[in-house]
Amino acid sequence: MEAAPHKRAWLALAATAAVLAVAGCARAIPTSQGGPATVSADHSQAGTYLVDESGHSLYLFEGDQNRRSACTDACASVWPPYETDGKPTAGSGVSQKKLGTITRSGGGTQVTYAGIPLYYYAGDGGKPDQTTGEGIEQFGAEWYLLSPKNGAPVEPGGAGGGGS
Amino acid sequence: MGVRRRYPPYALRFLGALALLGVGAVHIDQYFAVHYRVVPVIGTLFLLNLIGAAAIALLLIVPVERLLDDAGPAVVGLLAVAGIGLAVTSGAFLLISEHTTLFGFMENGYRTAIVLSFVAEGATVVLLGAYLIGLAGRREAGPQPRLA
Repeated sequence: MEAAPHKRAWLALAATAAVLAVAGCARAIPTSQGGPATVSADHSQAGTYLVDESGHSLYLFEGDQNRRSACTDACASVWPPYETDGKPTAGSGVSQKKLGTITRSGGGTQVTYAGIPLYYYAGDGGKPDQTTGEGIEQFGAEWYLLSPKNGAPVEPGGAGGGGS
Repeated sequence: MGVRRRYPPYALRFLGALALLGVGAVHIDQYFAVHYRVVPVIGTLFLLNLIGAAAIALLLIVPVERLLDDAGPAVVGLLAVAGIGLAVTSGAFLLISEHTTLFGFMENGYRTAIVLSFVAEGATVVLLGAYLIGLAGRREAGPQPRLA
């Protein structure tokens, strides 16, 4: 007869986990939208920068070199790579010629812009129009929004570009 | 000596508490060293994980039953259940985030910290579970005479 309270506790735990898991799926940071990625330009006080088809900000990692992603393991959890199924397409304000892809070391096709791998930031909470990752240093280098002009870090308040 | 007869070996409880502290330690390491503090909801849960694990482990390590007399076995049993609950929930959430998003967050692969977390969570469940079973067995056997 002693087992009943324990059984109830286990059931309560399982139910709580299930409810929270379902609730947690509501606002997700995608690594892929389940098809060809579309990159567009958006504008805010942070400047003009690249976003995905849902308006999530995209970032560059200064630790990346030679068209290869240096962000793996824990880094890729906090800064999920922007992945695509198929050839990425350009939305408004973005050059199709600058879009490309790389194959990640662990598999997956990551979108690049002017040869620079693109990432989401988990700190943006899966919400569009958030730019909380701009200019912060994590995992050994700094992270910036990208200018649609040339893929360089965005200049706050300007049209972006950081040079041409 | 009466306290000893009413409880399973203290070593099980102590090691279970250490394993639970290990669960909290992995989470706080990720919270600070790997910047999980910036991740909405997940960051807060990681901090709460450490606070919960530390509080439960501390209460399991100190001999609270000496202060509680007859209520001792029930309180220690509840602490063990709480420790197991925290470890199971933590492990379940981690497993979910490995396969799909949890609060908008998804883990990336099975790196060392994640393996350590699963090991600590498993050890917590096994050790505190064994302690709990021993505790329940002694209670079902009926009241035992106190030797002290």
